[in-house]
Amino acid sequence: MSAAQDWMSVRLGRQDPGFGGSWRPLLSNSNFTYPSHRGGSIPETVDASPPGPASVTSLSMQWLANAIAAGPETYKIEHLTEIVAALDDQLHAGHFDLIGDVLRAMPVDLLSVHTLVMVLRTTGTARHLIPRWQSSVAAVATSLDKRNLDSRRLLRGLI
Amino acid sequence: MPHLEIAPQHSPPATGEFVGVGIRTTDVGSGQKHVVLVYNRPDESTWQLGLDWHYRLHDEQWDPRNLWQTAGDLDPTDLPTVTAYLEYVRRSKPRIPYAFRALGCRFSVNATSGLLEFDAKEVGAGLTCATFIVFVFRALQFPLINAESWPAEREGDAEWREKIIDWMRKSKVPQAHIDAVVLQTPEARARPEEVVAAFIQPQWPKSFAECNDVALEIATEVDAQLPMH
Repeated sequence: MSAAQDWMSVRLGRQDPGFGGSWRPLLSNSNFTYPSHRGGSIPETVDASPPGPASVTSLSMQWLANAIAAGPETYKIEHLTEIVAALDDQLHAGHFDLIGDVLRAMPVDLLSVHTLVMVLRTTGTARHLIPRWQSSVAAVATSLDKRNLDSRRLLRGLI
Repeated sequence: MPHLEIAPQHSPPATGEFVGVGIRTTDVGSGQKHVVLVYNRPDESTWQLGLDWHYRLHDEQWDPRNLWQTAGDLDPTDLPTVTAYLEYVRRSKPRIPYAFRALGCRFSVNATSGLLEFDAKEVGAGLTCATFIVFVFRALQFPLINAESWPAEREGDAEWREKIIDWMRKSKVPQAHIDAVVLQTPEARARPEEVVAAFIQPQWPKSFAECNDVALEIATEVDAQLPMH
């Protein structure tokens, strides 16, 4: 099970995370998808099967897996680019509920400031369409403040 | 205001994260200026990305003929975000029409290729080299300029459009696009030096009043680099 899948299980209450420990590095080719749904709650299951044909009904979570694996202190430009591609794809497909679910389920304290800002700046174009987008911004702001970062400055144009 | 840097005496930093803007005169006779975004790739090489012409988004290694300056309102923490987006644009090579009206245009992602595409709202819509930069930063929720404050139909704007349309004809841009551009109501023109003026100042977005004088200084600096001087 990958670190990101561990996190999914934690969010779903199935496993003690042991967040005090370290995350295992993810395999670079790990793939799993966040199942499509239109409801307002976090999905009950995670599809860990190998990816099938490209589908606009599934949201690639590779970007999140990579971001969690990188941890809150580091980032890679290529991973930030992945975020833009994955989320822009879903925005274009109109999967606003799904994006809202993912944003609310993001483990903000485990992600780097660059990842968090990239996610919000990418989805900001559809802020009025994504359910509770501002709540996600507030959660990110709280996390940044806890790190003694200037959230108002970092999230300018978004708050 | 920060003065523009002159390469190669003072080139953009070749290492670390960097996002800036470059400008130079590309047509001496008419004084036409061209503005590009300048950035460092993760391999620490310096590149410039700009809309050169109709369907010509050009990403190339830094051209030291440009004057340049760093972004005035980006913090170090913002640079990876912007760089990643520029990498995505560069990799996607969206086909962007050259036109005087950008209203309603947007980037979107091709669900099959995963690459960024440019959606022109209507035939005859598109970007200029200057509005391309505004457009990219707006996509990242960094509004560079307050477009509503830009005056429409200033002296020289109509002549500039005529010149561009003439160049379109000479460079064999499809006639259908030229016809549509001619029929479009143009937006207020943000000139290359005005976008540079906004870009290098803090506290975006900038109004026309905040950019006008700075832009005149920039134009003077850029013109001073021409061989005739």
